[in-house]
Amino acid sequence: MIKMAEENKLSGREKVQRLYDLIGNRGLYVNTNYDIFSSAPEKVNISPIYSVSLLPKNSRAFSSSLLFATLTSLLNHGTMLITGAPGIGKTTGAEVAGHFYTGVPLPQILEAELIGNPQLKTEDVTATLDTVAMVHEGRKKVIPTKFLQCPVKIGDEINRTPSDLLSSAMKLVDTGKAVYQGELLESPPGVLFATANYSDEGTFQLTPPFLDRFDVAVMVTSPPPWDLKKIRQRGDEKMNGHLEKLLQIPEELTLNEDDRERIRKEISSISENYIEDIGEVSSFADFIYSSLRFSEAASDNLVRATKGNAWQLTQDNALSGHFTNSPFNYTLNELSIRTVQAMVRYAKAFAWINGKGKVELEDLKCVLPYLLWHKIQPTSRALTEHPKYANDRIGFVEDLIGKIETEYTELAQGNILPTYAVALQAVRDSKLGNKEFDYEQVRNIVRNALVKIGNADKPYALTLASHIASEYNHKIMHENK
Amino acid sequence: MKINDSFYRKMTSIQPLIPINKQGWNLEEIAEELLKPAPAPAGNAGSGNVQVSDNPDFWKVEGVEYRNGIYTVELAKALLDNGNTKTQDQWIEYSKQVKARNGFYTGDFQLYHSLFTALYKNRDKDSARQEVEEARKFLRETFRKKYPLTLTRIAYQPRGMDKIIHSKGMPDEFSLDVNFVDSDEWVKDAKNPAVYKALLGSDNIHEINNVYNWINGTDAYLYRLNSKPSSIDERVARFIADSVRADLDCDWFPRYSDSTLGVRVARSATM
Repeated sequence: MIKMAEENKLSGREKVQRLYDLIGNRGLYVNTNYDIFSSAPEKVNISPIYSVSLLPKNSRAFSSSLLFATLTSLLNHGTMLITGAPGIGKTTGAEVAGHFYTGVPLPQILEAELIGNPQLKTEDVTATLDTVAMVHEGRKKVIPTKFLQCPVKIGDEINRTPSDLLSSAMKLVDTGKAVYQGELLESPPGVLFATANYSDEGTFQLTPPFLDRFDVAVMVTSPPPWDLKKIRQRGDEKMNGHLEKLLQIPEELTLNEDDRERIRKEISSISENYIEDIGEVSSFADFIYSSLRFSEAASDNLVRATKGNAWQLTQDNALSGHFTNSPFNYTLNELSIRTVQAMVRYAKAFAWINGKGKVELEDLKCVLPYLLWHKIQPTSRALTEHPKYANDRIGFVEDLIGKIETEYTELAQGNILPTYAVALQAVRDSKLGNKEFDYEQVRNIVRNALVKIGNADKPYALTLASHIASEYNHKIMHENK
Repeated sequence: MKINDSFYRKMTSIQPLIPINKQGWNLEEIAEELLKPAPAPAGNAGSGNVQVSDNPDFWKVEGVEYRNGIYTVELAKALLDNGNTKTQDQWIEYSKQVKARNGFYTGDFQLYHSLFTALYKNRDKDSARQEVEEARKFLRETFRKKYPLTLTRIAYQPRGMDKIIHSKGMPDEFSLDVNFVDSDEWVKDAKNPAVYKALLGSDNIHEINNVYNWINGTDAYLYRLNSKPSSIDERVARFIADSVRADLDCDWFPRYSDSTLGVRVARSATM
């Protein structure tokens, strides 16, 4: 019997997949606006502008809001921003996902929830002082808030609070740690969901550093009309509805901390394809980072020619530069290290939920728009070329990634990569095949390779040339020791 | 976490930023190419202490900066082979033979441009003014009437960068890769200086235009293939001028014949 029970036990992935389906089937979060596909769908044009997607056999389609709520709930200190119009289930979706994937009862989640308002204080977020203990016992005692203690943290309508007031909450979000009255407080591993309505007269602008703290963001759309029937069937809480029953988690689907830890291990251990030790997925992520990092406006010195240094003269107010058609012209800012790390993490998580043993470029491209759209600020050129990108920032990022991929393909198929490879190998080994190079020969190879690569006259060529020079200089310094 | 040796090695080993499929590439051949003397740094052709002297059959210009060295270049006062026309391939064979006998032969675009720049920079030098002016008139006449071709060939590629081959077919042949295909342009309005660096050994656009303006009295103009060919398309580079412009013509067909300027080169020093 025990053996049978073991055999019937569901894996972590099966539990997560079934919980995902169960949340939809019970009408707790219904949205069949499928916008993410495990395999590239067939696009069928149904008007001069619009198309619909048809799923290939043996593939899965997801609604981005529930998919990323699911994946983020499984990570340690995952952070997700949920934006959209009022009244379409942003907060409910977060509460339900938090409950089902962490097992924390919904009332506990609701008690810990922060409601955004202009008067929010540090004491509402992290901790308060126990005044009774101070008066009667003469000692300082810090009482962490329920928000800090709860594994599922929800900041509702977060943009009704000025960003600077949220800084302590944000440190907590990132690290799971907060300091109050000189005392370090630790939050249990869990997830943070923040919801934000689109701007109105009662909201504040969320600052780029604040937005950068969110690993992922979704734009929740209202459910399509064919979903309304399912929502009605769920019951009406204002008419003796029975939400409690719907929130019960079947025992066989319950995820405990061991399950979640195993899931994180499984996700982490998913590997990518390697070509001579270079990961296909991580290197494409790095190429995206590199493509958006460069800024001609920042400096004529290549070391300082990054968007982060374009603090006065930006891509918007500088005169047209030399590389007018490169993707970097379309963003005002660059990507943070935090973002680059999230890219591979979420690509792996997406591959995992689809039951894949390896993460592929397609997995990364599926998740990328949701990791970047809230962080990347389009330039006025991007918005002039496509005014709708002012609304559809996900579309903007999809387009941008397409441009970057075109350059990536151009680089991969062009003829500077072998030169780059030879120069790096000469620097690394001072030989190629049976031929050994002395100091002067290595320097000559490097110098010629730099000129040859520079002749490609593309920002990516500048990166490759700089890399060779950096490795060469590093080696020379090492040999000096 | 204990950092072991293999972890440290992996962290510090030199690796490419993106995967490189090395199939189909002969890396040792590429290394050989990269081992050749480096091209002259941008914008320095023609500087230095230049001496121009007159001889019955040629002008001798000392101190010409070309590729990675200082050279003495002699420019014949008559076109090669009595002004006969040949295809580039025929000039290659001719040049191989006469060079072996220390005769005048056909140069490439970079060599001619280095020579012209050296002359231009010394046009007002008292000791050389007359010789330089004679050379200029000869060049202008030749550009306008004979369209001298060179041993530079451009291999336009269907994808990736194009290849500019200098000293084509000669023992010191070398090539540079650059995105060369683009619309024709006035050199003074150059969109991509790297093109000129690969073609002439200099990306000093202002100076390049001044050199040809001095020779021909007009601005310089670059002629080239304007769109990617479906297969590799090889063209010959030559000089051609009229009263409107001085063309750097990189669009000429290898099957056609033209005259050519004779040069003779001796290395003076390494830069």
